[in-house]
Amino acid sequence: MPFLLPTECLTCIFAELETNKSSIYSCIRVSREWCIAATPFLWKNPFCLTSKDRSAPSTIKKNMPIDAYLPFLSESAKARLRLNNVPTGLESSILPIFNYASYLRVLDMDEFYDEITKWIANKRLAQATQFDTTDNISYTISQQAAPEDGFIDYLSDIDDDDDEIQKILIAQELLFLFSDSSPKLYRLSIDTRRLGKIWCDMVVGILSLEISTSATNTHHPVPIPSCFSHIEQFEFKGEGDETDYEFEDMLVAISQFSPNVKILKIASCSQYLLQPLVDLIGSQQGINELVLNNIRIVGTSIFEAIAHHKKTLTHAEFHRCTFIDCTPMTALANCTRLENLIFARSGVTGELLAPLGSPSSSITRLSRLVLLDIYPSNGDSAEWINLAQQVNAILRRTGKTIRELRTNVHLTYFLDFVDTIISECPNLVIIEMDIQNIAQIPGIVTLLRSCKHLQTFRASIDGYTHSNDSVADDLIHEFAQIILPPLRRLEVRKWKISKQGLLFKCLISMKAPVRYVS
Amino acid sequence: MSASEAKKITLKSCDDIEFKVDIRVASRSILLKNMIEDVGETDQSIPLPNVNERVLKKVLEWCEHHKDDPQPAIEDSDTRRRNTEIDDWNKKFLEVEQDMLFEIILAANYLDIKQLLDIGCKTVANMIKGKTPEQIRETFNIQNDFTPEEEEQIRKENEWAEDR
Repeated sequence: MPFLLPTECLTCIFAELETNKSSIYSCIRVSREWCIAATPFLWKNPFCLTSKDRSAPSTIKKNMPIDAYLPFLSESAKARLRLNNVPTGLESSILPIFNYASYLRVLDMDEFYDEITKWIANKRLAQATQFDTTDNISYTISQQAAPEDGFIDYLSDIDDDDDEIQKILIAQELLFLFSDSSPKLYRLSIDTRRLGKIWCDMVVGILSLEISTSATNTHHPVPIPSCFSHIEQFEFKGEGDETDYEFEDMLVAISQFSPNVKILKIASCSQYLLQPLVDLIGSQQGINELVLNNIRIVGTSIFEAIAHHKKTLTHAEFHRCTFIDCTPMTALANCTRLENLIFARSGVTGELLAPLGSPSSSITRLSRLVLLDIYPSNGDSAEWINLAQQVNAILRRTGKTIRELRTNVHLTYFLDFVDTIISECPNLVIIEMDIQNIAQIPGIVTLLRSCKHLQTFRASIDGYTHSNDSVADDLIHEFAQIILPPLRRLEVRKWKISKQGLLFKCLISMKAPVRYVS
Repeated sequence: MSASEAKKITLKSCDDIEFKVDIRVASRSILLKNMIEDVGETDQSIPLPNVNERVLKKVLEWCEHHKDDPQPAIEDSDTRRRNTEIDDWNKKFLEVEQDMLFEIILAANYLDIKQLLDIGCKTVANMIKGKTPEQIRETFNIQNDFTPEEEEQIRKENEWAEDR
């Protein structure tokens, strides 16, 4: 029977393979129809290097993704590269079959930098070995010229600045090409700590150019569509110090020209970027996922900006954040579609969380709650009690919908926490929690009995094993009695369980994968 | 069982076989769901000119098994998450001859049953993984219609993908 699936189904199949580049490469070479349908998936994110690729090249590859882009550069761009001795290898006049730049969807500047680094090293290696660049066969360096040593020795002769300048030159020309080819970029990611200001400025430069082009073009009163206007995911990592002010333009440019960001991940922004960050969040049409990492959130403006997304926000995540002079999180409590709420290594107080567990809270769709290493900012006992009470209130407010609860709160301080889960969260599928002493085990046993849909339980017995204590045999016996399907995954850490013991036998008798971490 | 749950519609395959189906089951198909919502209750059978009896029976078996699943969210193909595993029931369900697998995919595409389309495509994708172009052609009976020059150029331009 001939293969009869239409292109739309082929597209669906190739989408399943997009992270498996070697399989997509095979698909591309099957037939013309497959080639046309599969090529966009290979060139969507071509700079994603495996760890193997990141190491110094041991073989010379004739063709890397950048080689397929270069023939589409303007003549002036090619001339600039030649003038600066960038080893382009542009002798061939044959244009590639597709304009591959038009398929680019993901631009991670970190990966882009690595790709350029590898491409330049590859070209230099080819020059150094006087390899005939018109040949198509990969050339393996002989054992005598030990690959990595040879590579490092060769690079050691090059002025570091020259090398960096060449990387910047090629990056700039390629960024212009991407911009001209108008790909619908949907993810842009930049780590300023690694790449520095100039790489950030290159992206801003492209954005600014597009903004000025559209502003000065009288024939187009509506801004010209930009490759950056389709960005749905923006990831930015700042320096986290006073040098952050240098990157303000980046956030401002995205605010101005990328209004459709749905996933926003911002890390390590100091106070210098707080207002641009507020403007960025506020400028978007509807954010679905917001991840803030290592940010000192001062005042109310961030949450006022988050309030714009109360109808779209499904995922809110705060890692290593501190909240200074913030008002209670009413903005989050009003997010009617919120499904995932994560606080990790963050200083939060009961007062801040209070709106989330109040009767007027709208987070009635919450299905995943993660509270790891949370602590009240001033840490006194009254604050701990209040924090525990508000966490219990959140569980009471959202308990029916919660499927996954991951926490390491100290059960001694979080009074009634287990009882609240037992009475309010019957639909949990995944539980991860810490147990601090033996006295808590009976409560855990009751909890496991109450959660009829539980598939995964991870318990780390934290603290008391240091005193050479162990879980009593009768408790293990009781625990073992309740290890029944649908539980499919059990992880108990630091439990002293003998291979002859009942719990171990129970684990073995369960056919589903069960993990026991001693 | 409530009155609304008991409501049924009749679907007619391209080979004129009629199936009386619970509306909840039929509504796994977005095409049918929209049709039912637009037209309202009807005693007339809904013709499905692209699906034969054998395939429709199989698709309805899938819909019956998944009738209580939540409807998947509408997502852009670029942002779509593709981390769903094929569970044991679905794996067994799709252990069919290749022509039947393709017909299920075509029917899922026509009837707009996203989850069935996804697991069908994932099954075909799993059949492709690790194969050379020649092996893929053999597996799916595909003709190589490249000229030798095209084949060589395609190979060269994409060869970087071989080790990524």
